Amino acid sequence: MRKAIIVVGAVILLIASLAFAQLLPEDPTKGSRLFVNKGCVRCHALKGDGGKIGPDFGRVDFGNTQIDLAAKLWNHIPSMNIGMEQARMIKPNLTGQEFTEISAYLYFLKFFDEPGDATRGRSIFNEKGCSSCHPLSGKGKEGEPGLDQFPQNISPVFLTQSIWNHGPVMIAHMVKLGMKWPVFEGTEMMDLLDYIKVNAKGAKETAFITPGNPKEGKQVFAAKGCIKCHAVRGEGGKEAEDLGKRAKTFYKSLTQITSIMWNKGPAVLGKMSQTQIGIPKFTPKEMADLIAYLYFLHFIDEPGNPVNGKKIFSESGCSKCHGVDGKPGELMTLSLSKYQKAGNSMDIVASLWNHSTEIEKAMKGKGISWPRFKKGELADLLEFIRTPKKKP
Amino acid sequence: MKINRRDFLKMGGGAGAAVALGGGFWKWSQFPVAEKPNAPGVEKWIPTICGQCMGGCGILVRVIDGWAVNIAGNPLHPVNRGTLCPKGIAGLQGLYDPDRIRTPLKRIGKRGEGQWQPISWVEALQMVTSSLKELRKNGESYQLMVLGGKYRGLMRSLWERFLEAFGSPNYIDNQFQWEGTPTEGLFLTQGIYSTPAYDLENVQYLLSFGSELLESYWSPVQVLRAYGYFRRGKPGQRGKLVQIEPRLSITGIKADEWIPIQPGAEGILALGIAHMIIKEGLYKKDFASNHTFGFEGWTDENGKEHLGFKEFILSEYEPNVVSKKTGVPVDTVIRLAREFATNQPSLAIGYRDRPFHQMAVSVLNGLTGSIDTTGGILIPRNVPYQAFPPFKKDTIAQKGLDKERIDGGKGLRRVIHQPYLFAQNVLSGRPYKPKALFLYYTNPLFSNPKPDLFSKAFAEIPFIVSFSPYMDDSTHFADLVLPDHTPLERWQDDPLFLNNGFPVLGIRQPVVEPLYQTKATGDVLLTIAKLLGGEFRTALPWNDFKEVMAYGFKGIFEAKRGDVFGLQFEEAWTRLLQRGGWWAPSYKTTEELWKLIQERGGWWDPLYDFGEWERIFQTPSKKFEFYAQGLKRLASSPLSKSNGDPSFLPHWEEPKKMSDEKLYPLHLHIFKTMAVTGSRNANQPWLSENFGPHLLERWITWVEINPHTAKELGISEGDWVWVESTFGKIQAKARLYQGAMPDVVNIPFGLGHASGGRWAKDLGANPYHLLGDDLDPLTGNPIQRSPRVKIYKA
Repeated sequence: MRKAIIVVGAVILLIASLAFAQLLPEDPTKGSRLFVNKGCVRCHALKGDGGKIGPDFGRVDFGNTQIDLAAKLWNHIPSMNIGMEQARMIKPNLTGQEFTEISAYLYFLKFFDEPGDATRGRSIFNEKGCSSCHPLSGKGKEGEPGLDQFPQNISPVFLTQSIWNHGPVMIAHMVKLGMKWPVFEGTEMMDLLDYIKVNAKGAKETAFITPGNPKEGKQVFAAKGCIKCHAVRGEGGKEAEDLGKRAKTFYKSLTQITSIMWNKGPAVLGKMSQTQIGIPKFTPKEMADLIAYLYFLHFIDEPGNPVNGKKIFSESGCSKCHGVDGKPGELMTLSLSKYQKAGNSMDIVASLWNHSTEIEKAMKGKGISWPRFKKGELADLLEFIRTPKKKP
Repeated sequence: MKINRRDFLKMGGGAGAAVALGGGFWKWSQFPVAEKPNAPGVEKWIPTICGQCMGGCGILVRVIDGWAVNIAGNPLHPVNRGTLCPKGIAGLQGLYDPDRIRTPLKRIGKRGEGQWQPISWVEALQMVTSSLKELRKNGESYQLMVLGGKYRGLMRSLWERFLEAFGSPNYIDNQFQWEGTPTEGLFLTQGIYSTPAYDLENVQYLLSFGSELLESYWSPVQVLRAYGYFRRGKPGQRGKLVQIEPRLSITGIKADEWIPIQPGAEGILALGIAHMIIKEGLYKKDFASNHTFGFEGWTDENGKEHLGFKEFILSEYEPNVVSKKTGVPVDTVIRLAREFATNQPSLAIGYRDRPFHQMAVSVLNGLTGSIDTTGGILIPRNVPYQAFPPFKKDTIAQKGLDKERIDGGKGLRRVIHQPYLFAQNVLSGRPYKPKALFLYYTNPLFSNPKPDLFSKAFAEIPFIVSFSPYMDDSTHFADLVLPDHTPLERWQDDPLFLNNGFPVLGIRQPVVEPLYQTKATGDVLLTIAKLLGGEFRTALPWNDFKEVMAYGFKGIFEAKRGDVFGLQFEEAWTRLLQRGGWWAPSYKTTEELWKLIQERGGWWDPLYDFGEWERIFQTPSKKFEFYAQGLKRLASSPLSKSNGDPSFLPHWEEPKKMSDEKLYPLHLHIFKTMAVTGSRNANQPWLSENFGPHLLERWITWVEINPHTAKELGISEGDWVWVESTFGKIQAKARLYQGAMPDVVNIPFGLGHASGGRWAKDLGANPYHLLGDDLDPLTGNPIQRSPRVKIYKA
């Protein structure tokens, strides 16, 4: 009987955690419109363009999970309130969905590279041995295309895709020539790309593509067989490392992720060629989605710990007003029971944001200092708030 | 009936008002009267594009109960970001001009008598269609011609498509030369005959050869914003402006340095500066060797050796030679050369004169490599419209299109249209005389030197149709007027670009219902096509111009770049994305794009693609040409004194003397002010009221004379004088101006209309009446320095 209760409990927890699970964004750029429409841009700039009251988001590291990003925001609410008051701004209200979109947008900012330097790219092109196979014009010794045959308006995704799709041929040629597989670091790939762009005279490809869709990228990850070797947070094959464990590694710009994929190219392609599926081919969109998926791996929070959350609830002073264990708060009684129905933790975060001015005022009035959350704490706290409580 | 004191006062007030209005109350009665006085109205702000000049500013029109009552700048439009110039603010006066043409008009008296009969659109269209059918029936389709003025967008494509289906090669530009920047220098050096973008925000040293930068630039608000940034936008880096021109203009006053120069001698000064840059080795050698043609001597495919620019300039344009011709001291020539070459990025912008004089200014940018670079000359990409669908031309159309264009239409004439030559050819009947002439957005009888030439040419054409909303000088000589809507009443696209080369597409949409029985010319053209039937239906399948726009805009969606207008932040975001190869627009479908364009005022692509040399250099050599190969290939006859190598290199020629210097001792310099844009706007009283703000002159034409010269001539401030050349004379008010050179008099262009309604007719004088036919053979534009005048009291 006890075992059965445990199993049923585990199943309920699993279902609950699945229901509450954060979803991968489908269009992380969507938040850019909200960023403007909600007035964030009046205080915050993006690489110099925008307001000057708050920090420039083009220069801030948002490499946190979604809830830790929210915690960062929460910690700064008092200073934000002062800034908004000085700027005579009315704090915009947000829904949980809007909060999700804005946080995904802020997280996405690092993905976009600044253009490279073609002059540095020329040195890299020669130093890494690319020029041994690819002349500036015409064809290489083994029929490799010269740079003039590369498509114009080439985007990093096209380059990544063609590197991947032509990887085996490239490896074979390099082995034949006795060349070492070059490794790219930092912005080298971007510089190289700019050099290629300057010299490309081939067909005009579509200039730009829509930024990747992480949700569809997850499907690509499965459909192309990546999941057979790589698990993500325990789900998937065990042959290669679990990418979820080093998700932060992918919080890098597109070309830096491309560099990682390139650097691992021979090893990955070699292994894949021995599988039944073989080496999969990607379309530019599939490649963009896959890279966006990898990029957003770190964005998704691990499930919070409600036990720890309860501790934080008490220690941070929340319980003084909201009560705990069915008991009313010492200072006032403001029930949080409605949040037990919250389907998404961002709904609670949005509510916190929308009421932050009142919360701050009340806390000041009662002499309670503003609580600041460390990494992972807000996730635990939200999990605690959302967990159904026993009736007293 | 008992009348108390209050009633008496009311009656007195009413009578006073009636007297004050001078019996002209009917004039005001056409203004809207609220049905319920003081009742609050329904207010809307509708985004559209200003139509007052070629600037392309975005405006928001405040509309209350269907009446446009105010105009403000659209903060989302990247050209003006919410700001406006005086012309933009006065825009409502074009809409509410009491002398607008309100219905189609048929001439009933003799041509030019001004006797008109209002007719219905059905009758008017019947007249046009039967005339056009007759031409096609007789195999004379090529004898239809269209003179088109300065405008942008799909309307031009529609005219061309109409003529293509009709079978006439005769679309001729009669674009008033002062409604854009001079482009011939760019044409000769880069093979592009359209206005380039000057990256004024980022330039460090700006050498302006008489450019009317701060008073009447083609996009005045945009350039004024850029000027602010150029001066104060970069902390610690104040850009330097040097203005070289015969008159101290507003630009000269604002510049760091004004260098007075003999009219038309700007080109030789530019060559003197080039001489010093080369002599001192200050030119950009990388650019000269990789991206230019003709800098050094060269040998053609027949083994013939040709003179290079370097050798030519070093031998011909020593600073002392230049100093003698220009009056600019040798030291100044040398200093300007050094400053220009060493303060990068530097930019030279030109003036209106003969093409090879303009080319002399352009080559300065070639020497410093200020082409396709930040702070230099940029060549914007075109707005990516969807091309019109293909159609099959019928036999009549094909035969008509094989005919020669009336103004020549071969070689250079294919690129550079010459309305002046058209008028001459109409009179001579060679190659043939047109039988029908359509006038669209142009007023050749006002905006060309020797307007009598055009009136004589008009007399030779049996059927003239004008599409003007106003009774201008040329419309006055038409047989039929099909009045267009004013810009605030019609749909129109407006593709242009920013100083930094970003393509922009503004949308003009009706903000009010048409006030009168007018129709948009695009709609009229499509209706005529329907009435003509046959292949016209496939060539022009749309029902109205709005459909044409929606069709063209599909190309914008399919180009997969850019976004609808947004705040400056959104610009930065779009640019960041596109730099990385991404595109995340605010719209997902063409319908969404169309809707958002109307809401926000337009679309743009905030990224400039550097290094696409095929777009930058469209010359035969695909390089910057110090030696104009394109000109050489296209020119069928000599365009300067000789046809040797120097004619294809930038050089300077003294204009021929048109009159006795003793009898006509003064040079004539014509300039433009901000208020009246060339041939437009004179019908708007607010603008005539601001015609000459620097001298507080309004409603009249004045002549600026140096005080010493005036004293010698016995002319005092405010005297009315005759200004006379060998070709004509005009009356103007004498204004003594320290900024006038002793041997140069300056007269503003814009007034002196023979028609145009109560606010324009017979006010002021047109200085073009003083010009003769010493016109440049390539452009047909007046040659600077050529006209000379004398002045005496009236």
